[in-house]
Amino acid sequence: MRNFVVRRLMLLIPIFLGVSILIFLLMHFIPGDPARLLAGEGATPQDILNIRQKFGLDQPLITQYFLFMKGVFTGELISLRTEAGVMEEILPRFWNTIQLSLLSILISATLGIGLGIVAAVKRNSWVDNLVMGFSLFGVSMPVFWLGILLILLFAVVFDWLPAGGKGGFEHIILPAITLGMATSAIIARMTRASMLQVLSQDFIRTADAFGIRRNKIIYKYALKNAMIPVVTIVGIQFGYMLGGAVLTESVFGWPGLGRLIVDSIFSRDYTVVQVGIMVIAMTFVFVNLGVDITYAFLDPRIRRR
Amino acid sequence: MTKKTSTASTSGPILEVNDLKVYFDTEEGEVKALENVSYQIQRGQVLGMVGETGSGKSVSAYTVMGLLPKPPGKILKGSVKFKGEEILGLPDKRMRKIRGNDLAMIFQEPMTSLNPVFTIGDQMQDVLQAHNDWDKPKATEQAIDALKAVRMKDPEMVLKKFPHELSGGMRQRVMIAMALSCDPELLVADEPTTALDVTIQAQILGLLKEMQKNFHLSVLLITHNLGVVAQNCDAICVMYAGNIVEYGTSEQIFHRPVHPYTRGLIKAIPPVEGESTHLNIIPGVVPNLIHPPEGCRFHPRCERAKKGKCDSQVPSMADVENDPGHRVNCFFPYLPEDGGVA
Amino acid sequence: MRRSKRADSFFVIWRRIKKNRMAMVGTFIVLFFVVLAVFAPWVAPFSPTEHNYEDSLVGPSLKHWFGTDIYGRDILSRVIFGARTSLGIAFLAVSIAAVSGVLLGAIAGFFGGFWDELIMRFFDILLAFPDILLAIAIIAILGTGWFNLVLAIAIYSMPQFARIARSEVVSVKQNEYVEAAMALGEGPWTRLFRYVLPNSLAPVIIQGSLRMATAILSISGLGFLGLGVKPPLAEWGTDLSLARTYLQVAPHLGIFTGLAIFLIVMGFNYFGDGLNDALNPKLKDR
Repeated sequence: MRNFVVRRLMLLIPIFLGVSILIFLLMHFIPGDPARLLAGEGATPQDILNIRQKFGLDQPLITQYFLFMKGVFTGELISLRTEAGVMEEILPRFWNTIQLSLLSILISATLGIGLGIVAAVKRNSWVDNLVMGFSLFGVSMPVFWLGILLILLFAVVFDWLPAGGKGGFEHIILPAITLGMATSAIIARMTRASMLQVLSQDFIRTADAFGIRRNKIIYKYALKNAMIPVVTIVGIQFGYMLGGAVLTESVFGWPGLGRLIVDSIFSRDYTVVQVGIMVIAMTFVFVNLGVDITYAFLDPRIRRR
Repeated sequence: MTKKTSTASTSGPILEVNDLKVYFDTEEGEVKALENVSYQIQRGQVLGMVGETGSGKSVSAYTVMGLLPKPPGKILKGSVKFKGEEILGLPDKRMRKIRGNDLAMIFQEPMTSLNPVFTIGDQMQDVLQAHNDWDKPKATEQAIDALKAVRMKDPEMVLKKFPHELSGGMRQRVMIAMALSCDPELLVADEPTTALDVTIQAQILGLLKEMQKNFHLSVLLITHNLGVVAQNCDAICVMYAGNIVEYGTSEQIFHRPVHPYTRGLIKAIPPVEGESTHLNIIPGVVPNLIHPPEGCRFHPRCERAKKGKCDSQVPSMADVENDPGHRVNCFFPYLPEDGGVA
Repeated sequence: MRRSKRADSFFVIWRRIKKNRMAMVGTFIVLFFVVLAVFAPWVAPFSPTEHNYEDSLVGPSLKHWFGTDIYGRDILSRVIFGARTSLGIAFLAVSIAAVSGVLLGAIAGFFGGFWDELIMRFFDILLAFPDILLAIAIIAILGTGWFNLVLAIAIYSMPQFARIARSEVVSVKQNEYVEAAMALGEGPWTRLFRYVLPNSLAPVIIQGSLRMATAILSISGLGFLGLGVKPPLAEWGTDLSLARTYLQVAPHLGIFTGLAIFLIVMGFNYFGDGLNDALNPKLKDR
């Protein structure tokens, strides 16, 4: 098991390098002189020169990359707009995104797994059709439209919940549902497929042949097997939420990291854009690692390999 | 071991199957999987059921166990009496009480028949606790006893293992231990050795035979391998395309076979027991059971088939003359006096 | 995901689609929007971009079926022209992604070794960006505008095609007829194009349809964030972003445009799923 984790961690290194290099190069793909861009409009040539030295833009590319990475880790990198440390800008916003995504994945995993199991057990019944219908509906729904509809219904028509902003718990309900809708649909579908696949296995027939109770077969024998791919999907979906939350955050004015990145694109605050994207991508990669480890925990065949 | 709760009669055959008719619905049409299938297993007896893939032997076993998937399977006719009590159509809950407790089954694929994500101990305890009002330590103790009974080395250790950590032979041993742990009266063994190495096959068959004697078990042994039934069975029924074509003692079937198909099967046994089990000496192929041949289902491949009889009328089981207990499903069987085929 | 070894022709695929109700519904929805998009100037009752402040924020009426926005533009017309924008950009982007992704994936799978590692690791890095974050990053570099949008969506859709093509190629590579072709002395490129790629056709079409759905969602998503096409071009996401601002006073703005996105995305999803079921009947219900 420990070897497995170590090996998976080793695999992260090239991904980590690749992602950081790609994001670092972001700046250099921007048409025109990055120093001029960073200096902003109306900068004097002296300003530009200062920026160039300050950010090491006169150094070779490799050196610049290391300077950039050092800046990220030491927190020396500053926001071009507010002059505050990039991490100080990002972390509180990231925490908001995490809160939203966590509640969302909690709702959608519970809902999705529950619906998926019911659909599989009552296969081809009206319940099954309903769940599958919901599933197709959920994946086709644009999140921001769903957000708008929920605001129309619960904020405009009924005035039960706030239309946006951050505050008490009632502020997070609509965003969490919005963000989780597509995910719960995907999880429901995956759970159903996985359960059906497992229920047709030989070892389920064996359990039947030995007179194990049907409920025990479904909720113990089948479910643990069926959860192996579902856990993967839940984890990956949680990772996707970190990136996809930006739309929900925009609809509801939720001050998350995604929204900060988009705002920073408009204000040309490229250090915040770079580090923000990197934080999300890295979290995504780590979440996927966590998924793999959970996977190994659930499936003894992988653990010992 | 445990005392049975069943109140059914204690005399008469342990299993009586009468006139079973089982079809399957498929996209291509209705598969007429079993027709006119009747047989009995006496207490303490081993009945061998032999036939090619698709002959209906497994379907018949699944029907007895109440494990036939419905749909697509459907039982159109017949009865299955276990200890004199009709068990076809029993409610699922009641059937689960019987299965694993009085009626146990082991399968062909020891690789896939055990749940990969639970330990052997966990799975054995579940079976024991499903049929007995025991706590966990007691169930564990019984599981160890069961593993010892099948002469598994280091049973405590085996309980902690996952199925993939055991060899095929060991897994089948575990299956047998699990099947015997609740002290059943009838064991259905569906190709129990087919997926194993030849050397392991002999061990497992030997073990089954020993267990049968020790526990006074009745066994329904299903196989496509005539060699397996020859040495281990009190009675044998030969299946072809969903029908029983011949029934008799091991001696009757092997020394005085009367059905042309049985004779063909015996001829097809390779001279030296080897891995080849292809029964390809009989000309033709197993018929498609969506549109089985009219009349006797074997007639298109039969050397004795007669026009106007075998291709239009359905034969039924009848006693073989001058050979008590020997039955055959054929209009023109060979005579026992014709002797064996060798 | 195994199919018959024989390469599926378009004809066979179409015959299977006709048998699958879900695929047919999807086909119908998609065709409906395609017709709208192609004939937009003739179908739309008004100009999608002309301002008319007298009719600002009017609710649905006989004149303006879907109402008007803050600038008095007819929503119905903007929905119809929006189909043009979304379908056009998505189709261009997915086509680029499919062709380049399949080619790169096929090269990786066919030649293996170094090229395989290089190409697939590159795609792994692209896949390390969750959801539309990669598209956002690319737009951040390139700036907004429809062509940059095409590039962003194309790059972020590529890895899926590459993976399909690669696995398809690896499994087909060992087939007898490819070996037979090798024995006949045909070069690797001939073999790749003549025997290996045709086998990837069906899964690529399925993936293409599902990616169209994702692409349309991403285009309108980026539009909603203000990172999409430049106004005043009619685009659904941009319009919904405007709708969000006036939701309290003009709720009708939030309905029809979103419905259009939902329907077309569902159309592509139905088509892709239905086709998947039709081509892999064994996987049905799985």
